Formats: sequence, C-alpha cells, structure tokens
Amino acid sequence: MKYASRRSNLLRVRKHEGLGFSIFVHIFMTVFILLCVLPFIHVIALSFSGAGYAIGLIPQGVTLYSYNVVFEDSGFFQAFGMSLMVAVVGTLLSVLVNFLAAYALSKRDLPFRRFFNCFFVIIMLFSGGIIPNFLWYRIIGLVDTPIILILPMAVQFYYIMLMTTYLENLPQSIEDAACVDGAGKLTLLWYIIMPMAVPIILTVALYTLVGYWNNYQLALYYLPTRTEYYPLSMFILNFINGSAINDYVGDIEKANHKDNIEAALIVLSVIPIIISYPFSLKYIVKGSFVGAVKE
Amino acid sequence: MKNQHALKFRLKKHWSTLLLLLPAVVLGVVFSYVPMVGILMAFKTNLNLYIYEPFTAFLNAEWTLENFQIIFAGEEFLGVLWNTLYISVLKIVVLFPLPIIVSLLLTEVKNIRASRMYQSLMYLPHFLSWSIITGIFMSVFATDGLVNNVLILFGMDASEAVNWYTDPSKFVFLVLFTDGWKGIGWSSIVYIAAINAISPEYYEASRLDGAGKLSQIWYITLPLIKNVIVTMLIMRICYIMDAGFDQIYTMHNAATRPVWQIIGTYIYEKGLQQGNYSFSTAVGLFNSVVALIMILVGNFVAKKISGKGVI
Amino acid sequence: MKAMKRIVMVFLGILFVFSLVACSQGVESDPVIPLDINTEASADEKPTLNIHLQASGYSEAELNQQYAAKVISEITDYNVRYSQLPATGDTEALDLALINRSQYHAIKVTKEQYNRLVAQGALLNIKPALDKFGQDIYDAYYDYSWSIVSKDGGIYGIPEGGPPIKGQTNVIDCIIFRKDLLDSWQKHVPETTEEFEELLRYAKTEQGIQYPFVMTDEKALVPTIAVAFDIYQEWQGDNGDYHFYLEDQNMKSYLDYMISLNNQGLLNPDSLIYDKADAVRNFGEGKAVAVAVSVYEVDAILSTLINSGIIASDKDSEEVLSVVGGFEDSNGEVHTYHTGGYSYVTVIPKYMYEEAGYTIDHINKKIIEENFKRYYIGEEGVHYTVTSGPDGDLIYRPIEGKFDELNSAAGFCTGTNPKASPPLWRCRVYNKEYLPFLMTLNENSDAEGTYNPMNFTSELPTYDQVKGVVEQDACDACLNMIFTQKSSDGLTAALNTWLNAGGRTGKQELAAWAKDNWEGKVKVE
Repeated sequence: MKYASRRSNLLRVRKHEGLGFSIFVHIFMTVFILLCVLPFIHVIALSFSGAGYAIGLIPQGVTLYSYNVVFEDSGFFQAFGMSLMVAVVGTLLSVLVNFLAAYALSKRDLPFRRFFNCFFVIIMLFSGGIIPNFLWYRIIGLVDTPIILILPMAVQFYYIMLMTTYLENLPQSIEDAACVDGAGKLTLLWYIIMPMAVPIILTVALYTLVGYWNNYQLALYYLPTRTEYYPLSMFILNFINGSAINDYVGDIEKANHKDNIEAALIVLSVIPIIISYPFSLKYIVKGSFVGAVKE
Repeated sequence: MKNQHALKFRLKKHWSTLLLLLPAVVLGVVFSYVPMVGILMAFKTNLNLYIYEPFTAFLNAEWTLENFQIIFAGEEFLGVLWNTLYISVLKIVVLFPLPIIVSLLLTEVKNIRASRMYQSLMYLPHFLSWSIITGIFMSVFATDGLVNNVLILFGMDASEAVNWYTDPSKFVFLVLFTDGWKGIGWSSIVYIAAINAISPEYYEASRLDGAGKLSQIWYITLPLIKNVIVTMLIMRICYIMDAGFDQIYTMHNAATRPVWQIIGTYIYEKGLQQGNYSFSTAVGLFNSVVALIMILVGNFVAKKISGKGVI
Repeated sequence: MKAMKRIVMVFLGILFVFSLVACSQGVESDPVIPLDINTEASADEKPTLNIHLQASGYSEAELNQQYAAKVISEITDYNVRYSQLPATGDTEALDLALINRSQYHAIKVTKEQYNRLVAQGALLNIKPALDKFGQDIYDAYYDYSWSIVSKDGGIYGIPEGGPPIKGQTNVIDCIIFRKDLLDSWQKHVPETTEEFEELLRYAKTEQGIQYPFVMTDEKALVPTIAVAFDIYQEWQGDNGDYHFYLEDQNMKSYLDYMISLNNQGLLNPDSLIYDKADAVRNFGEGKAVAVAVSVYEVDAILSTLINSGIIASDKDSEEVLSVVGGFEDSNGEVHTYHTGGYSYVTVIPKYMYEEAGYTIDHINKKIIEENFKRYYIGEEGVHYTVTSGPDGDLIYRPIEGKFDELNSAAGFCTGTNPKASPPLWRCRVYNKEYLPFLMTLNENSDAEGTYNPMNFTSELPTYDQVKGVVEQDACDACLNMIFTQKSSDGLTAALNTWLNAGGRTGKQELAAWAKDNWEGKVKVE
C-alpha cells in the first residue's frame, strides 16, 4: 500500500514535471525550426519572383522566368544526371569501403591497429596540393573522366571513426553468440553486425551523399576539358557567376535576374536531398537492436 | 617472446579482417599518399610548370626556405594566424555543444509526428550556399534592418544602431551566428542517431528510481554518447586551422579586414590568385603540422578522460 | 610500425619520381611556327580549332549553339569548338589547363592573367604568323595597341578593349541623381562639391531621407568627387614622374570631405558592405537621392524603381535620372576619369605552335570589317538597318525582336576591330536604357581626359605580382578611414604600407615604362 501510494505520488510529480519540460521543448523547437525554415521560404519566393523587388516571404512579380532560363539550358539536365550518378555510386562505394575499414578497426586486438589509424589520420591531415594531385591523376589517366569525381574522396577517416566508435559500443556477446552458432565471418558481418549498425551507416551515408552532391572542387580542378562531366554544383557556380558577365552588352535581363536564378538553382538542387532525407530518417530514428541480448 | 606469440595469434585470428581494410588502404595510397610527395614543392621556388614538364621543372627550381621565412618572419602572418585560431576556438567552444543540446531536446519530444517534422526541417539551412546566406542576413543585420529595428522597439536610440557588419567585434558574432544557424541542424543528426541507440531499459529503470528529466540526461544519455561526442570533438579540432574559408570569403569587407583575414583567405590571395603554388603548399604544410599536433594532444587528453582515444 | 610506414612512403615517392621521367619533354625556346600551310583549304581539311573563352553563363553545349558561333565558322571557313573558363577559380583552372597541355588553339585571358603568363614564358610569340597571315589584324588596330602585347620584339597576344581615343565611350563612372525628386524640390543638379553637400543636407533635413547618398565598396575614390580635388586618376603624372592617389597632396582633403559627409549622416554607412547590386537596390527603393556607380547600372536602377512602384513604367528615363561625370575642380573645370585600357588578350599557348598558323588565319578572317559585322551585329535587313547620318557616317540600328540572338556575340570576340567597331557597338547597345546617359557623359567630357597609365602597361615585372593585393589594401585602408575610423589620420600610415609593400618599386617601373611608351602617345588618334 505504502509502495503503491508512493508510486502514484511519483507518477503525479513526474507528469507535471514532464509537462513543463515538454512545453519548454516544444517552444524551443518551434522557434528554432522557424529560424531554419523562414529563410528557405524566402529563397523559394525569390525563385518565383521577378527582378528588382524586395522579397519577403511572398513572391512578387510572380514569374517562371528563372526556372525557364535554367531548363532551357541543356547543360542543366546533363549536370543533374551527372550529380545523381556520382552521388549514388560514390555514396555506395564510399560507405562500403569506410564501413569495412571501420569494422576491422573496431576489433581492439587487430594487429597493427595503431598503424592503420595513423595511416588514415595522415591522409586526412596532409595533402600534396592541387598541382601534385593533378599531375599524378593525369599520369594514371583519370583526369577528365567521371571516376575522378568519386574516388579521391571515397575514404574519409571522419566517417570511419564515427562508425568504429559506434561498433565498439555494440556488445561483444552478440558476435560471440553468432560465432558459437557457427556463423562465418561474412555472414556475421552482413546479417548481424550491419543491421545493428544501420543508424550510423545511414547517418554516414547521408553525410556522404550530401558531400558528393555539393562538391565542386573535384570537377573544377580535375576536369579541365571535359565539361560534359560537370556535376550540378559546378554548373550552378558557372551559371550564376558567368551570367553577371553578360551584363553590359549581353543578356541584361538574365543579369538582372541573377539572384532569382541563383535561388531557382538552389531550390532545384536541394530537391533530391529533401526526397532522400525523410526516407533515411525513418531508419536512423528506429534505433538499434542493442537490447536484444540479456546481459 | 610473449608479444610475438600474441602477435602471431592475433594475425591468425584476424587475417581475414585485415583484408577488409584493403580497399580503403589501396584507395588511400593511390589517391592521397602518392601525390603527397608534392609537399616538397613547399621547399622550392621559381617553379615554372608552364614550360617544363613536372620532373624537369622540379629539378630546375631552387631549393629554398624562402616560403617559410615569409610565414614565420612576417608579422602579417602572425596576425592572420591569431585570427584563425581566435575564430576557430570560439566556434568550437560556442557552437560545438549546441547540436548536442538540440538533439537531447529533440529526442525528448514525445509526439512522433512533431518530432519527425522538426527533424525533417531543421537541416534545411545547411543546403543554402554561403552567398545566399550572406545575402539574406545582410538585409536582416543592416544598419536599418530587422534586428536594429527590433532593438529600437526595445528602447535603443536610433543613432546607436549597431553596425553588425562593419564593427569588428560584432562581425565575429555574425560569423558565429551564421555558422551555427547553418550547421546545428545538420550536425545534430549524428547525435540523434547515437541517442536513439540507447536502450530504453536504462530510462525505465531510472524512472522507477525517481529520476527526473535532467538527471536522466546527465546520468544516462550523456555518458552513453560520450564516445561519440569525444570523437566528434577530436575531429573538429583537427579542422581548427580552417576557420571557414567559404563563409568568410563571402562575408568579408574592408572594414573588418584586420579581424577576418584567416589563413584560408591569406593563402587564396597571396598564393593561388597569383599562381604561387609553392607558397600555398608551404602554408598548407604548416596547417597540416599544426592539425597533427592538435589531434595528438586531443587524443592524449581523451585517453586520460575516457580511457580511449581516436588513435 | 611507423618505420614501416616511412619506408613505404619513400618507396612510393621514388616510384612516382621515376614515373615522371617518362614524360620529360619541355618546350623551352621559341618554337618555329610552320607557315607553309594552305589556308584556303575547306573547313574539314583544316584542323578543328578549340577556342577557350571567358565564362559566359551558358553551358558549353549552349555556347556552341549560339548564333555568333555558327556564323563565325561559316564566314571564316573553319570548324571551331568553343569551351570556356569557369566563372570562379578561373585562375587555377587556367593554370591547370596549361600544365595539362590542354589542346586549346587560343585562349581569351584577362590582362592580369596575361601579364603573369607572359612573364613565365608560357605564351607563343605570334609575330611570324601575324606577319604572314594577320595583315588585316594589323590594319584593324591602331599602332599603339601593340605596345601592350609586345615584349622583346615579339608579339604575344591580340588585345581587346580600347586604346585611349578622344570622343570614345570611355567615361562610365558617375553619380546618378533622382532628377524627378530634384525637380519637385526645385533644386538643380549639383555641379560642385559644395552644392552636392548642400543638396544632401536638404534631402536629409527637409525631406527626411535618412541616408541620401549611397556608394559601393568597390572604390574608395568616387571618381565624380575625386576630380573636384584634382585627383583625376588613380595614377597620374608626367615627365617620368607618376604618383599614386595615396600620395596626392589633395588626398587628405578628399578624405576629409567624405568623412564629413559621413559624420553628418549624409552617406549610407552600409555602403562599406554594398556591392553595386545592393547600392542599386537601395537607390531604387527610394532610400537615396544619389548613388555612385557606373552608368551601366541605369537599366537595373530603372527596373527597380518601376518594381518598387516609385515611377510608372512608361516614364521617360531622362526625366527620372540625371548623371554627373565630375564636379568642378579647383579651376572651375570639369575633367573626368577615363577608363580605357585592355580588358582581355587572346593568346596562344606555346605548346600549340604547330597549328598556330591556322589559328591566326582564322582570327584574321574574323576581324575583317565585313566579317566582323556579320557576327557582331548580324545581317543587314535581318538584324539591323543602316542609314546615313548627318555627318555622312553610317548609323546602325537593331531591328526589334530579331537582335536577341546576337546578345552573346561579344563573348566570341578574339580581338575586336577597334577602327570599325564604335558605330557597331552603338547598335548593340541601342536598346539599353543607359545609352543616352553614356552619350551625355562622353559628349560633355573633356576631349583629352585623364587615363590611368597602369591600364596600358605591358608588364611591370615586380609590381604586377603584387599590384592586385596592395592596391586593394590601399583602397580598403581609405574605406576604413572614411567609414570606420572617420578620420584621415591614418593616411600616412597607409601610404607607407603601400610604399613598402611594392608601391615604391611600382612607381619606378611605371616611370621607366612610361618614358618610352606613354608620353605623348596617348591622345594620338
């Protein structure tokens, strides 16, 4: 009896406490989200507006001019497709490579473990610079090919570390149990470890995808002549800054709409991310199977 | 004797696991280690790559420590270095905890639909390019812009309007604010994933013992994601020499030049824009060495605190 | 472990170095351009030329679809493929292209890029080819034009942009006023700095405009105002003695005047972070009465004014705006800043010498006046009409609606035809709102005007390396004095910084160059 009333007292206190906290959280999050979303709405409004207006959250001089200009240039779709290809292939490859390395490194008794850690850290810190990279890639024949947009940034110690940390936290008991049941190394990896690591893998995959999607340096430096391989990020850079050059004797209307066109390009280039994010969110939030084993 | 046995035993046990490292190692060697030889360029001058093929050009150029003299002897560089560290350290100290706080709060939201909506929206600023962000915030923080108008409503005198963009001290605030705004939502994804991995049993148990929200956060959540936090922190410290080139280059203006000239912009103006690659390589080498020292220090400290580090 | 890693790195390094030996062919001395080629062969028998242009805002595919591209191929009888430098990072991209030995027959570079490349010996001496195939190119340019691209008896590029010629459209900096507002206040457009200040004061106190004057952070020297203090250019002087504006005896007075405008709240303090688009927006929203930008911004200003609802769309532009090129100086005369000088140079990389003959022949055919017209303004009767003017010269006017496909033509110029182009250029900009204002500025400007010799030099070996940075620093220092410190006390310090960072050498090199190349040669044509 005493215990029951004490418990119900606790429940009551907890409920009130929970309520206050809840309200605080909701207010905070709402303000924060508004701060994040409003500028974005502004950009969308800008993309549907005419030139020379002061835009708040509502388009003025509503027009599809910006989008027309973008779609009329055949290079846009080519660049979009290129970006998609690079991002998808690059993410798959990179996540795979990084994950395998992370799993290996998560084994505390791996021989030469410290050596390999140093190996990857040095990659992250030191670089020969644009020219030596360029010369070397030229020698191995990858300059002016799409491959050069993917491979140089495939190995990322940052993501390897994230995944290693996560994997180290997984209880060893599951793995041991599987081994006892006779699972081979690959089975272990594919059917047991990987599903448990889904949240971190998807997080890393999302970060990697966005990294590939936004990257323009690789195209800028290592595609000197084959501009048909330009990804969308590079296309946008050229489109916006180049149109200002058409200022005086060229296409003045396009130059006047420079901000609107930039806004339209941003909206278009964010769409794939906006599509893929909620999808992966579901799995990131779902949680792992950590509690599946009784300690 | 004992060590050798252990090594042999471990090799036998893990030989197949080592194979898993192979793809990453090969890619690393091919795409990063081989061109690293180019760091030697930092020690050369008069490198003329237009006329000569790389090897001959390299041989023809003179060995010199000139680039490093410019770096270490020039007073200009010291100021630039100070700016870089100042901004970077501020960014870490102020901005690093924020995604953690946001993710803690977000995972406390019980309503799944609301939580899903918040999470889907808060990463949007990350995708705006710096030029657009600067454009937006410039009108907001202008002398006659939104922020100043609000401050006037709260009683500030109109002639005291804060020059956010042209006052060096306020400028640093702007840099932090915009960087935070852009990155908090995005960076919190990793913490959300980590928090969601915590077994709900811990919370159940603590609730029965009468723990309140704050206690739960302090005694359960934080310790359990400590490893992730430490890892992220060490990684962040590695990038300490990059105080945000893209951002600052877009936001810079004449008035605040003493404050905003960071190493990145310095290399850009003095090195790349004049085709002086050996100089920019030298500064890059300097950056890398500093970052290496930082990561070793950070690793050491992390080991002392939590018993394990990154390396 | 670390030892093993070190060994591996060294081994790889040696491997890399050895692999470089395989490709060790350099082009060091002046290669000989093969000149006995058949330039009259059909297009398919001649090599396809790859021409690399400046960034255009089009993708490469679009670029090659432009009307001008097609016409040029037709009239010169060459197959040409156009590509372009990226809009940002163009310096690095250009360098990498050259290091990569990318097969571009000709590249259009900016003057700064040209200076650097020619100093490094990366460019081909095209004089032999010009002598044989480029007679029309020689004819199209004034003699003076070649000094900028000459070095040691050779010619390393074809310039683009105008030499200083009186009456040409070389005055573009001005202050633009809201004439309609001035008229309604019964004020006239100011002609001196005192009148200007008075007008601004009136606008602020009587009309309630908070910051009536707005400028940009591009230049600390507002040309219209600077000439009133006898500072007619950033570099001026004669007889082998040139000084930079920081050294000018009246610089302090200029700074004090601007500071006083700022202190009275007449100058918009955000000008420090405004680029020309922001200044245009500010002015176009009615927040200012005067804006200091180039006259080319008139179109954008008008469209902003219309969109803000301040004027009706059919209002005559000359009733709304008024431009002033310069205020009266100490002698009561008005001299104006003349721009002019070379913006682009078309060059051939040294390693492309084998087909340089074809390249020069192609450019030569492009530049002949009839051909030039065909891609610059199109076909008579289709794109433009031509009539005889009062002075007997020809007047070209575009045909509405048909001229649009020629908008991008200017980007395709690899060298213009300075002798023929002025009336053609006027046709190209005929429908621009700024044209009447541009004409006003230039008709009223003093015939001789002042040019900045810096814009016309071939190369100053030391100063060119640092010029961009140190002159920007000087500009920033002046902007700081005007807006942040609000005091001209820092002028001496800024001057010393500039002198020590390369200014002193710059003065010497400029004087040395000017002695042989500038004096008396400017106002020739």
